[in-house]
Amino acid sequence: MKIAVFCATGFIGQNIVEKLKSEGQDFISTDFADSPSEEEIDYRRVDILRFLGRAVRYRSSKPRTP
Amino acid sequence: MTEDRIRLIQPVVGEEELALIDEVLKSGHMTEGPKTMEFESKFAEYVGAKHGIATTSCTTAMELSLRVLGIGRGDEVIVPDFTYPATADVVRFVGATPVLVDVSPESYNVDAEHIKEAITPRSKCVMPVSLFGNPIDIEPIEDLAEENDLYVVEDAACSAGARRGQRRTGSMVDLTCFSFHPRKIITTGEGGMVTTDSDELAELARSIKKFGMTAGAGGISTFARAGSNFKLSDVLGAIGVVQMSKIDEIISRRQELAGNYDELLDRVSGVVPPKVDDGVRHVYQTYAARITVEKVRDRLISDLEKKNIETQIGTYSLHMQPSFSPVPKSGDLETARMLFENLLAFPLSHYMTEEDQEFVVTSFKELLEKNQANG
Repeated sequence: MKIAVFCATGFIGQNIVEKLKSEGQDFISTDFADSPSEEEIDYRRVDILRFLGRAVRYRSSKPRTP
Repeated sequence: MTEDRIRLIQPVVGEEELALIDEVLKSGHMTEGPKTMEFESKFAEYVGAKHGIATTSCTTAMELSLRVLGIGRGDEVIVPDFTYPATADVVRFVGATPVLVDVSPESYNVDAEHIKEAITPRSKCVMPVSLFGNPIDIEPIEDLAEENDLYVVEDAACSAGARRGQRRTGSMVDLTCFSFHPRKIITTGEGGMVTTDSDELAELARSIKKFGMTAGAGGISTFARAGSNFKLSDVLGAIGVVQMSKIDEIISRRQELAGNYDELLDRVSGVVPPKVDDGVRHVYQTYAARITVEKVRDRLISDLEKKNIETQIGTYSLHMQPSFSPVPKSGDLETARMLFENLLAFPLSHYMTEEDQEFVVTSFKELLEKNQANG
């Protein structure tokens, strides 16, 4: 199972990344800021909350079917 | 309580304040106006800042400061764990995340080393607190803020008139916030002030604290942004104007009383008086000494109260309060816990006598020994 860490550059996110790394877990980390972590961390710069927000708005604007 | 009670603090107010309040009431101008503006200008000049922006409290001054800097959701603000909850609550109020860090056991203030450990790419601001009238050690914090592109908003609620070398609290950082609560150096009952050297930040602060208003053409206001109402009434502004004429006398008296406590407590074992760095003007909003025996401080407060001596804790360790359980914490915050549980604020009333102070320390010594003996 691959774990995804959102908000990975924040204070809590960084601690979670360090913990997962020390445990040898398979994970990917994301945030909207530049990565503060070492290169071996799989980090994607993406604003996931904005993406999810758009998806929710799109979904809620679709007409409901009975 | 009898009149003989030795008070923690008493506001230094009298006929002069009443006379100016009377003038305001007779003028009919009771909202924010000329008296508050005069107070702002006198206070800013006193702390060496270009601008003073009066608010309803230090809490609203801090909230205003964060809003002016555009701090909000997704941002982290580094706050000492050893402070009154308002310092961290304003961060939550603007939608940002406070990150709690430990403090120095000697100065009780946050230092650059602890701040550094909590900096992340999301950090936008650090909010050091000049606790009890002791100004923060600004230079290392300033360097760290510059290296990491952080704003510095100082909670100087307790520290009007404090100085570190030639640098005055109120003109050392981006925005400084003061309190005029009755337990502070000068008081307006309730009230606060933001000071800054930045024209841009001051203009924005004045607008946000007044409904987002800006001056418009033909005297008609324009509402340029979302704002609130943090205006300080002229009734309170008038008190502030008079208090400014007394501030140095009040500070001198507090320093004299603190010096007496230093000498008296030097002869008592089990207590460490507050430490002051060379070249620092500590204004002693609070004289907080550390009891070196664990778990006796609370009993001392209640036993001293029975002798009509009002004492208090220093302040709070936020991570120990239920409200802050979900808030991120850096390190074990052990010093903040130790200070929360063991600091004792001694009475430091402007009107107390040397005999009162001797009675306080004699009673304290006797009760500390009794509590130690009882375990």
